[in-house]
Amino acid sequence: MTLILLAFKNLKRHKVRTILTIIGIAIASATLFSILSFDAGYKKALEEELIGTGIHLFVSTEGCPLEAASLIIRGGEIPRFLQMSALEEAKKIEGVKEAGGFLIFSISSPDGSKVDLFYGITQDVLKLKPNWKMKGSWFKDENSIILGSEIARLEKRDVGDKIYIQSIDKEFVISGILERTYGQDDGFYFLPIETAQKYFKKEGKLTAIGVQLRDLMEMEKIKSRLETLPDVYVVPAEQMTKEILKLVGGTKALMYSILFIVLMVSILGLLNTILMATFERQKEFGYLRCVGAGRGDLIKLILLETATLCLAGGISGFGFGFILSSGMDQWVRQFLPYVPAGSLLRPSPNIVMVSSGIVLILGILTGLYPAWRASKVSPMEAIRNE
Amino acid sequence: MNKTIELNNVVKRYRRGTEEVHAIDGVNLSIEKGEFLSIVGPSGSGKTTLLNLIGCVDKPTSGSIKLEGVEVGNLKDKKLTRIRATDIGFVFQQFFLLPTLTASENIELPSLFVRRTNRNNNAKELLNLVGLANRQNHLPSQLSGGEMQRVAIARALINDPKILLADEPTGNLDSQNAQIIMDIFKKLNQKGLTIIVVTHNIELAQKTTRLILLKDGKVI
Repeated sequence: MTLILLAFKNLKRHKVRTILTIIGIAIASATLFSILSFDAGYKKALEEELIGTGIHLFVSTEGCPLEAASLIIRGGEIPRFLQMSALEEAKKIEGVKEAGGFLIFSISSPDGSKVDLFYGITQDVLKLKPNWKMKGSWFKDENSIILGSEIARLEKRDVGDKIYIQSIDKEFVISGILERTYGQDDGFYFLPIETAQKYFKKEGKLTAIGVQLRDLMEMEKIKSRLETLPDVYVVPAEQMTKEILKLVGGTKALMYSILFIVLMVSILGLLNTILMATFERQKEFGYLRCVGAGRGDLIKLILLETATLCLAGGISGFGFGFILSSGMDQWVRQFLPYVPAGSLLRPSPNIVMVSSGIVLILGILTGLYPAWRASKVSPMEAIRNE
Repeated sequence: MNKTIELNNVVKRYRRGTEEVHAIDGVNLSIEKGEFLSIVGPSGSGKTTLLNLIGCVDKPTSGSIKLEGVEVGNLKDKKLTRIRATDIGFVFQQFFLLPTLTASENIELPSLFVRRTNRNNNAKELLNLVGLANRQNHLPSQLSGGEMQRVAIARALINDPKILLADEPTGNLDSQNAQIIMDIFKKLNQKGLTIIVVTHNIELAQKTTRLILLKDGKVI
């Protein structure tokens, strides 16, 4: 017989109450686990996409970094353009490994219900997006088009099919379809840069340029060189990451607010359960005091009961959170202003440890008051009313 | 003299609303080691209060209570807890068996609070002693009233107490089970255990070796 076994058996007295409390803690633990996994996963996915893909510097027309982020990453349209010659100049700068040009356009349907997003790209872009996996091939001619996976799914098209795009009144042959990136690329029509320039009447123009460096130590030097080009604004990928993280800050704040509420509800549920269990056992505690239980023993007993509930709720919550993480990943994407490719929720042993620590500490703190109440029971309580 | 319990002019007063109640009023009592003593008296005579004072559950308003020569009346809670754990066994009318623990686990319960490795008794032997060897894995809900009280007696013995205090131990039992309980007490007393029983039942009290009558907080 041990105090742990006693605590466990005490919880078995009111099975429904115990199970409901565990479910409450499990929901809070799953929420905590998912949000912490998201917090770590989103930043990592963003860094992988922006830095890991090899673009070290983003070059656009003069403006704020947020506009540049919007331009290159999300496909937002700003009616200011770089000259095509800027791409050639950028390629010539010593220390630049690769440079790819983008021309981004969006056209709304007449009733405004649909927006077609077009991405005119140079072949160098392939080197800047090594995570792209493509069914089919690169553009074969000026009438070729590459579809993002979501577009291909909605249009029910495959490689080799023709596709008529009403917004620009032009029929293309699909040369390739991108595999799902879980990012904005899934929703783009990709055109050869010259075709895009022709149809959007922006011959010789680019929206932005992505630059990959040979040596990151030379970033400042090359950034300064690029800034000597007329009307350009250069944003390092790291700064871009920070700007995008600022963009999702609101969503994260909302998530943490929800987490706070869920944790508070769970804590109150736990407090209610333990406090009820303490109040209804006054006589029993009195008896335990009679047979030699010290105040400390009763404190330990109540804290062990609390910890057992937290442990059971925590373990099932983390398991639940882990199983649901892929579904959560899809769900959370719709609320984000920018979604990088790759998994957004990345559970890790570290997150399990931090979440366990938080659940256990909050649980123990919650159990302190009922434990203190139990320790105040006098042995006389057992004899009273006999 | 081999006195195990000694009360000198013990007074216990407490307030009930505006009224002051003299629950125990100047009791002098000596109990020798190995005595089997019953305390009888009408309701409100102070029987249970006296038992609480002897069992270190309550403190006297004045007077002296010595257990094994040690004055316990003014001891701090921690020391009283230790005495209750190691020197005294309690049996109550209401059994106080924990519903989710088996008979065997209930018996072991008080041993959780005593850091002692050389314990003489174990649950199995004690169940044997009270005639419930075949009930060790039964939950209280699977036991009769008499069996529950026998488990409670076994539990009171787990820490090898010097004194066994029983407050109306047969109060909830029929005469047959009451007899079984008294027989167990007799057997334990014959082995040298000091036993004090509070009871309303004069017939049972007469089976003890010494009877004390209490009235209005005084020994008559």
